[in-house]
Amino acid sequence: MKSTKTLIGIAAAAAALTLAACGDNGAGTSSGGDGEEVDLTFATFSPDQEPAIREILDVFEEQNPGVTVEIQIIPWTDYWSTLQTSTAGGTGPDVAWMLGAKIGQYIDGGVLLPLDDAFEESGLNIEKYPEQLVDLFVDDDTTYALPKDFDTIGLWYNKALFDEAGVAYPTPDWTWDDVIAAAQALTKPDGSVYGIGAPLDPQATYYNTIYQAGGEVISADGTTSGYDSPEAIAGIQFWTDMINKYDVSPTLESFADTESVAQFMSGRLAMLTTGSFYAIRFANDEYSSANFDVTELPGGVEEATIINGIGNVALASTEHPEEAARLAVFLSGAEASQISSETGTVIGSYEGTQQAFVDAFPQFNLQAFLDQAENGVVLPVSRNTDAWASRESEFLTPAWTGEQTVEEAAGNLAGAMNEALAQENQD
Amino acid sequence: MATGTTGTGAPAGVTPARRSGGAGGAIGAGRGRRDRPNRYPDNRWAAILLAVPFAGLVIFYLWPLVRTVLLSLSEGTAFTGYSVTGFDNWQRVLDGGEVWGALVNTLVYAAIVLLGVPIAMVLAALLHQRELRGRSFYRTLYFVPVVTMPVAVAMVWRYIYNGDFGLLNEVLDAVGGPTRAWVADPDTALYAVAVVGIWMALGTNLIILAAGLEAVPESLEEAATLDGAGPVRRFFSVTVPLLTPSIFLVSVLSVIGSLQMFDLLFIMLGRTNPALADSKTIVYLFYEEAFVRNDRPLGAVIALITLVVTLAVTAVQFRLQRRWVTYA
Repeated sequence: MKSTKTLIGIAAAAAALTLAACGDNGAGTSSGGDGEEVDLTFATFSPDQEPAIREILDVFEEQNPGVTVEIQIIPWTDYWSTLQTSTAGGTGPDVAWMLGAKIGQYIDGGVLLPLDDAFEESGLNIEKYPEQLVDLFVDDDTTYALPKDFDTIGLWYNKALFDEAGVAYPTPDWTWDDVIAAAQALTKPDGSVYGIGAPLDPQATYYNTIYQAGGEVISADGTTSGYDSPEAIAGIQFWTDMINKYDVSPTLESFADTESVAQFMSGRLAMLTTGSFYAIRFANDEYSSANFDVTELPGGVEEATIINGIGNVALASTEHPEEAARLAVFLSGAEASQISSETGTVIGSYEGTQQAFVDAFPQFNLQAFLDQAENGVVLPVSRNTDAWASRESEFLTPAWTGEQTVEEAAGNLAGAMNEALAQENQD
Repeated sequence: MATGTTGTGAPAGVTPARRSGGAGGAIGAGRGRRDRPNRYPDNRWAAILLAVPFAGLVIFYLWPLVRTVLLSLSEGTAFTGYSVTGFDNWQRVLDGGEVWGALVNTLVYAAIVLLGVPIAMVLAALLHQRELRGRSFYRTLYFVPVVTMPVAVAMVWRYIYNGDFGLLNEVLDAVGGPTRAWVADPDTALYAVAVVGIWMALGTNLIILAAGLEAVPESLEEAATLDGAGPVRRFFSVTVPLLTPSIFLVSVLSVIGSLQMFDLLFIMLGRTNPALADSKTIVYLFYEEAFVRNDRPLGAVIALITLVVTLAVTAVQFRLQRRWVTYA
């Protein structure tokens, strides 16, 4: 008898707690006036950057007495669905990481705080940020986020494999023809070494060559796909040829089994085009650190590299809008930028802080990533990027495996993308 | 609880009950039965106790189901809110080819994993032999995949299936067999994943079937032996018919589990796998629509289709069981 009562008591208490947890996020306890305690939650998806973020937040807390900020790390696979549902339910974090590909929906949903006032108050200079990235987060002359960092794509190469094959290292004035010639010389007939990796990875491979060929992924007004243009097809063809024509890259099957970066780090690929964000991983690996270096992407018809960056937004559901906006700006400010660069995890976005990134790993020529930034083309986005970007792999796979011509695959993708864009613009 | 069950605490707990029982008996034998003074409290407690799981069922199953149906008829986004507009989403899903392809893949997968049931039966019969040494060791061994995280299992199998450096290809290469990128080849990916599905389900199936075997009377086996039946004949003519209720249960659970397959595919194939388009299951498609493309209403439609298909397949199984399941 006694134990059943206890059981019911526990069940009732559990139910009450669950309901309570649903009803209120229980975040800040104060009303947020001066001199009162303010608790903010900051959501990020990178455990790697946590130490740097904590360091930045300590500085912020010091400058803003009474404000404490808690870091909430949500793994990448859950980040966007968690952020979306918690924000829509009014239980989201106060400040969060944001990407250009995602911000459109949040702006349309009216769930972001404008940061213009807080930015003005901070005394930061907008001219000191990469312009393309600032534009990514501005809508109707209102700034919703500022880039905290940026990354560009470079040509990484394995010096040991180049030495072994007696091929000269890549230089910034290389063209793609030079890459193909080198890749052919570097590829071993027994399949143990390939000249270059050609994975189906938009940001690291074909987006770059599409823009270098003079094409575009999406029209400037965000209403039509650029995939069916001859330039875009040429930009994609470049990579599929590496596999199907020149035999200098492993197949798509191979990359599905072992990702391209892992193959590169195991010495199976002599070259790989990928981002500055891998510098820290390569530096922490003994073999990669000793043998890898990087240079600018070879040039096509035009110079171009995909540039991308993370922004910090303040969410309108916060109980402390003033402090949240101030924090969002601070996390993208000069001090934050300097701390981020010093750790070598990312390139800080604020001009004058980037040398720290270059100096972080002197074994690599990281200056190449900075030199390219002026040719940076921002990662193409629309209001609902995922609706079409999630289709790219599916439609381009037959081109990579050689089942379809690039014209055919790119044409089909353009059709599906235009359909998604039409839906998006009609909403 | 401690005082109620331990030897020393028992008399203290028992005494009052005896006293009240004795009081009833002293007034008149037989009267206690007619009064049934405990009847209503019993029912009340039953109702209260049942209300707890029932409330859970309503809050966590039935209400979300109603919401899912409404969502499937709605349009909107998480931020703008959803409003019911009609059957547009259903039409989009049913007109598109993707859901049918995914449905076929899912049913093929379920059918292959069902092949694990006979395997589990044979293993259960072998492990049932009393003279077998280390029975519990083998049982534990077969149960290990069940208690291992699917993610860990999938990672290990990914390595085994790897086309360039995989264990399977190395073995096949040594014996001159055909090698390929097992989970990146559209012709083999679904089957390769299904093999892992069978392996992972083996332990649970084995436990249920082993329990069923314990219930088979030994006298029947002995009688069959006296009639001259060998071990194989005994298995098929005595053990299997008496085991059919357990086999049925295992089959139903296996199919329901297979129809919801997602984790193995998600981890073993990955997003840019050339085999993905031909191997997508229905729950994978649901994930893509609802959480990658953020189209929750479309996801709701697919979730409901999954529910309907699961109910239909299970209903068919229950209907067919009359033909082959023997309840002793």
